[in-house]
Amino acid sequence: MKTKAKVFDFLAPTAVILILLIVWQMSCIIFNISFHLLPKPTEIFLALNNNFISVIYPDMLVSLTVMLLGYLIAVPLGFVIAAISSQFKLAVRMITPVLIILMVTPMATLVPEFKLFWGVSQSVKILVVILQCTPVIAVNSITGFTHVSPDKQNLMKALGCGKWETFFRVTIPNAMPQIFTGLKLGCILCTIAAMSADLSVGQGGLGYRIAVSSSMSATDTAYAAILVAAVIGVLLYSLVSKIESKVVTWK
Amino acid sequence: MENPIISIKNVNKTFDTRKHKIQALQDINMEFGKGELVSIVGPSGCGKSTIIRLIDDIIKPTDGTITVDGLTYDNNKPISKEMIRKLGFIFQISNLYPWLTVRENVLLPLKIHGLSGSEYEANMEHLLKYVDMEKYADVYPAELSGGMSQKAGVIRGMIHKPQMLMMDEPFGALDENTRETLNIELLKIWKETGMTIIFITHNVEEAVLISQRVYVMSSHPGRVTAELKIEFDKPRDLDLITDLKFAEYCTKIENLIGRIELAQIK
Amino acid sequence: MTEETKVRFNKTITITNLLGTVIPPISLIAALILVWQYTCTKNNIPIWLLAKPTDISKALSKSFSLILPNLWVTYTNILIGFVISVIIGLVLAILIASFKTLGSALTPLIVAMCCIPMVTLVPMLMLIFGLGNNVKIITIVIQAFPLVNMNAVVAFMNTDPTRLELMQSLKANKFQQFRFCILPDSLSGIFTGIKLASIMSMIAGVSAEMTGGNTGLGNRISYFIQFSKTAEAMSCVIYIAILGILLYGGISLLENKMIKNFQRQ
Repeated sequence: MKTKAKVFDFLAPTAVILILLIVWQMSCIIFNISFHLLPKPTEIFLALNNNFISVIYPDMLVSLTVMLLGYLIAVPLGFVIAAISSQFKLAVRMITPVLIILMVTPMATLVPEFKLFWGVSQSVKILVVILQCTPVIAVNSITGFTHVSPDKQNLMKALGCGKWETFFRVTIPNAMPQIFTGLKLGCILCTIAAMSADLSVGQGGLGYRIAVSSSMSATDTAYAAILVAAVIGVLLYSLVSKIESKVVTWK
Repeated sequence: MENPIISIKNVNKTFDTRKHKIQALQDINMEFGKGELVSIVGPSGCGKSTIIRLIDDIIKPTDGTITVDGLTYDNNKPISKEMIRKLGFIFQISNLYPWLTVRENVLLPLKIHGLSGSEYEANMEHLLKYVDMEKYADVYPAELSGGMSQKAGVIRGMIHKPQMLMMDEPFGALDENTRETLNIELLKIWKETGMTIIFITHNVEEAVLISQRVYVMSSHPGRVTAELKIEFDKPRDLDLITDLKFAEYCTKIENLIGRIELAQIK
Repeated sequence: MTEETKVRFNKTITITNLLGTVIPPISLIAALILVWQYTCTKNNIPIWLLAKPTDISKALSKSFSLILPNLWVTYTNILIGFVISVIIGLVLAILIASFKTLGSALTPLIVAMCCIPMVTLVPMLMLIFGLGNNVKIITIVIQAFPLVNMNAVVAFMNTDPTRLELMQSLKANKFQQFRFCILPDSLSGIFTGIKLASIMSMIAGVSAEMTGGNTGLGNRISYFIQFSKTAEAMSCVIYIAILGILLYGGISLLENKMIKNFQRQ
């Protein structure tokens, strides 16, 4: 009975995607939609195949490097900021509003200034990703760390646990759901930040490829690059979700 | 029994968990007469809570029949709205919704059953007064004590004037004094309304104090092992606890439960 | 304690609380601004490379009327897109929670939608649909509604089973279950989704302006930087930050108001 449900969970979205692709293909043919507006799925896959090694793969590597470096720096950075400041009430009151301001201000707004100041390079892109993701991870982690029930804290005190022991044994596990909210949003944001940074900064990357291809009316390559970007984003998000289900097993 | 209002015949219930099947109830036969107050006692895990959930149609039996007020439940379909209005259910923890005031919580069953009218509003005011909760009617559950929450849960279960009331260890989490007070209040309400009450408890004294009959159950799997009639010449109030006959009944039931547990260890 | 002294005591507590919450972050921000000002002045950084706080405050007042129409465009686009994504996200979440098959089919697609970098499509879509605001609003909706949706669905699925049992004991239908039990119980999860969606709406809206079209604060930033007018560009960033703060803060206030009734859940 359980395997039946698992099979259905896999077939249902696959079926929906297939139906959408067929409708898309048919609509392009029937309504004579121009190539420049919306290429057919078959054309997109062809472009993906033809240009993969020459163009898409190198751009994919560039984007992946930017995304992963940025995210993998943002995660420990945000975590450490949250861990240290959550120990001091004054620090929490000082830092949280500032982090929230950083969180709600799109870092893409700073890209033109960065380009002006530091020139055009991959490091600027990575910096944007870090700046976009760290506050999100930090704010959500602080929320998790500062909302431990007094009962649990008292239990730790009664057992004679020190500040840091309490932190590792009780606070962190308790905060896991909230931390993962931050990690998942950070993951989505790192994809989008990397892509829009590609667009503004150039120097390769899938975002850059999409812009260049659509300006040359090679819309099939553009959509192929978007497809690759979306797949990477979904895979990354699914990976973080999988880790979450292994860590937060009590939900 | 002639014309029982609730009858359970040859009921089995097996739960399918991820790892294995658990037989919660085995060949249960019980009858409840109209207007009776009957307790079901037994060790934890004997399926007492499962039985009242079967009667209230929250879960379906694996096989067997349940007949309530002349209607035999269809094991594949939920019971009708008219049927569910005749039943009331009171939970172990008051289960009040924290986002509603006491008054709104108590009125909730009326909203869901689609009942309205002055008779129910009057009933609510009457019940609130009865359990001394009128001052707390517009208070949120977070501000109530355990006893008050439980009282609110009890009157919520009765607001729609059900004919039959299922109570799942309603006073289990309370201190002895509050529990005894509420037991006497329950007896008063029972006399006034004439409801048929099925009362689940693991507290033998409580069962002997308020019930006319007691079913004793054992666990692994849940079975009915004994049925006792509880009869006193005196009226039921807290003085009864000191009566010799009271102690006899309690000892008898405790021995029944104890014997079962010993048998299981063998 | 008399009633009057209690009220006065409570009022003083609130004012002290207010000062306690406001002064620390403001002092931090003031300190950061001072460091920025000092570093720029000491190293003689020219204004066409990086503006100082003093330059930015001048720009804030001088160019306000110039920037205002763009400010209006950005603020309205993001707010409209945000509200639409909340509505769509919640409605879909209710449908998904009620019909399991729908959930299995749609959920992976919804996750995919917020991972597609819509920003990269904006220039192309604008060629077709025009330079107006529609493309930007659609971009915001597509990026933001999945966040509302996913969090709401998780919240609905994780309703307290004991509370649901009360509904079952009363044989409440699906609509009643949602209205009386599932929705109120899920409020905190729903608000988490709404807050995340507000962050995404800001990012999607501003990025869309930076890549396509010729209106909006995002667009003005690129424009000003082209002419090395860093102070004006930074002032646009500040206006954007203000919108983000107002939106996020507004949602938090609404959340506190709705949930204050049962804080000690």
